[in-house]
This record gives sequence, C-alpha cells and structure tokens, in this order.
Amino acid sequence: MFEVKKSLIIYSKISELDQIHNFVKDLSQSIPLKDNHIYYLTLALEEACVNIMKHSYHNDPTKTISIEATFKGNELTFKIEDNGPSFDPRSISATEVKEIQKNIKKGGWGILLISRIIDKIDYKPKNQSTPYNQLILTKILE
Amino acid sequence: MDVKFKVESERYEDIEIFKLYGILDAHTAPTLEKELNQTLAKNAYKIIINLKNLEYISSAGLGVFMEFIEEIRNNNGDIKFVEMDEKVLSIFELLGFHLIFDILPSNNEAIIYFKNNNLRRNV
Repeated sequence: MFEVKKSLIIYSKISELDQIHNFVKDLSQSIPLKDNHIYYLTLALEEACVNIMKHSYHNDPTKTISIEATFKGNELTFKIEDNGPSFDPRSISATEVKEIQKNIKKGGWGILLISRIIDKIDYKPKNQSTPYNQLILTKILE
Repeated sequence: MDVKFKVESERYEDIEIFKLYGILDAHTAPTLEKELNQTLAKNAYKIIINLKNLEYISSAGLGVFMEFIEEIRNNNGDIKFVEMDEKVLSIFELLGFHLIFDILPSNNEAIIYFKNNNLRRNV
C-alpha cells in the first residue's frame, strides 16, 4: 500500500509557525491534497501547536514540538508530541458556537476549529514508558 | 523578499478602510492588533476590513476582531468585512462568525451600510 511519512520538529516559538505552512505544502507534493485541504490542515496544525506553546510550554522557546505525518490508504494522521505538562485539548472541545457567541472574548476557538476540520482526535498523556504527550489528529481524505 | 503579512489603511470621511495581505496567524496577529489599537485611540470606530488579498486566517487572527468588537459597537461603530476569500469565509462559517459580522461584496457596499447607520449591536 502507498504510504508517505514526513516529520518536522519546531521550537515552541510563534515565529516557527511558518514551518508548518511549508510542511503541509511540502506534504501536498507527495499526497493528493486539494487546495482547501492544505488550508484546513495547516490551520489544524497551527491551532494544535499554538495550544501546546501556550498551555503546555508556557511560551518557553527552548522546548520543541515534533510533528509526524503519515498517509496510508485514505487516512492522513498527524502525531504531535511535546514533553510539557499534559493538557488534553479535548477537555475544552465541548464549547459550542452559541456559547462562544454569547461570550465574546479573545481565544477559545482553536480547539473548536480542530474538531470541525479533523475527523478523529486522540490524546495520550505522557507516562513512564512514553515520555511525550501525543496528540493524534486523523483526517479522512475522500 | 516575500512579506508574510501586511496592513494598508486609508480613510474615507469618518471610515477607516484596512486592506490585509498574506497570512494572519498567531505570529502576525499582533501587527493587526496594534493597527486597530491606534485606530480606536483616535476614536475612529467605523472600520472596513478588506480581505481580498488575505490568504489565510487562524483563530488568533479572528481573536483580534473579537477583542475590539464590543468597544467598537459600544461607540456606535462596527467592523464590516468585504471581498472575503472563499476559504477565509469557510472559517468564519465553521465558527459561526458570519452570523456576528456583516460580510459584504465591496468597500462601496460597506460605506453605504455605514452611511445608512446600518450597524450591528453587541450580543
């Protein structure tokens, strides 16, 4: 079966987000991604990484985030790893659009965007055998 | 060298028109935040955001508009978005922001909305 694997390691700095744009563009050279897939996947990765930078690493620029993309069959999976304190982004994913509209304030929409773009979200907090938190985002490509 | 994000502004009577170019993400959002802060400091609350050349927006970019909208509407102003790219529109729709803001075809249309005092209220 046709399989593609690519990985990227970035520092926990907002300026590193450019690399995510390039990473997804690069991925689209090997995988049949439509234009809007490139946009949405870049967005999901940005939102996930910014969450880690802010909530897990508290903007410490010496920390790193590893992203591994695997394409197999019609599934594109991103495994995003960090070794900060565990933070399950699914814990705030229940926020509904109506609530957001009621509480107009900055922030909180990142995880909502991820959940609307990505088909399956898994989270494995770090433990003794795996010293990294793993956020696994799976997108089914039609 | 390619510029990642750029803001240009012009004024029409009491209306500020901003043209955004490129990528509005967590990295570039502070640039727009600064521009809007300066505009509000001049008591200018009628704002048109032209997105014809904006390729990408993330929640950090949307957050900038949400940060200021309450103050703007409390001062008889509004933010009108014009010439929005389809992909950017789809992000507004995913989050329901198209229900909060007027999204119009052109600067002229937005100017007419302001002249007719067609403003949204805070929710």
